[in-house]
Amino acid sequence: MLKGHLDAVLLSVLEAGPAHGYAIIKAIRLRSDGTFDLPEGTIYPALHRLEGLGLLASKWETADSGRRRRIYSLTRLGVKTLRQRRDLWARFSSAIASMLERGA
Amino acid sequence: MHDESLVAEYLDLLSRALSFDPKLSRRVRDEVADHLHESIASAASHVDAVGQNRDAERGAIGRFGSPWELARQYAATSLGRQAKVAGFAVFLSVLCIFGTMRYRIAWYRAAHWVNGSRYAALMSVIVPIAESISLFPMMTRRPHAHLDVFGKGGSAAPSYSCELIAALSFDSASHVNCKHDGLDSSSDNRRARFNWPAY
Repeated sequence: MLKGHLDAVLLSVLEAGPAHGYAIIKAIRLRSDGTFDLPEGTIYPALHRLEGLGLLASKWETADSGRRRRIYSLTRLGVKTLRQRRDLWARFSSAIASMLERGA
Repeated sequence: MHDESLVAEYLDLLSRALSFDPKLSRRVRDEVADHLHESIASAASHVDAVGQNRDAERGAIGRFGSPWELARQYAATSLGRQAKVAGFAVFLSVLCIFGTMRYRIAWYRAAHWVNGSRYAALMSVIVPIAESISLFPMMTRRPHAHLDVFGKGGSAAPSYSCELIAALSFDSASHVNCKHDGLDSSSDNRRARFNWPAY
């Protein structure tokens, strides 16, 4: 179920500010109360794809531990896309809720 | 030390799985290495026993997922991008080849025009001079014997000049006739008699 919405989830997490892969995974777990416990590796292809689409930007930084880490941040296009996805989701979820209520 | 080798082994597997795109493989390897170390450090902070680090590492690798599955997810976008780059390179190569061909044709035309005009200008000067030289013996009433190259001890210079003109004028070589006091010195005739190489 999350698969189709992973892009929007990643964009919404990065709306709070730039973050690296592990921090993004932790944020997803925290914000979903552990509901979305996806394999951690799956976010990297999605992050790279979003970067390729111009929705994210990334750069290498050196962590306190001395290791290099890739930091991702939203681009303007990413912010705009997130807004569109939110509107779409609001309409979609409202319609689904309405349908399910009527069905009941 | 053994714990370190688990991560290294996993990273090696991941690199091998992503070998279809070396640049991507290096980047993902660095990112995943940082991720796994972060994950292990986070898990290790919750356990007291040092010996449990290995379990933390195994847990981190397990949560991260199969390297082959990760490579499969990358494959579609990476191969698509590579196909685009290859397609663009082929398009550019074809464009360059056609561009070069067109340039060569234009160059040949321009070069031919330049050579042709220079050649025509040159011939417009040479031909009258050569004709004058050919007519000179007649005008000066020199004896025929001096011009008869088939005779004994005659000067062949005027006839050679005619032959030179005939040779230079390529297309019209066989049509240039230089008459020296009745002597036909057409280039074909002369070539045949002296066994000169054809131009």
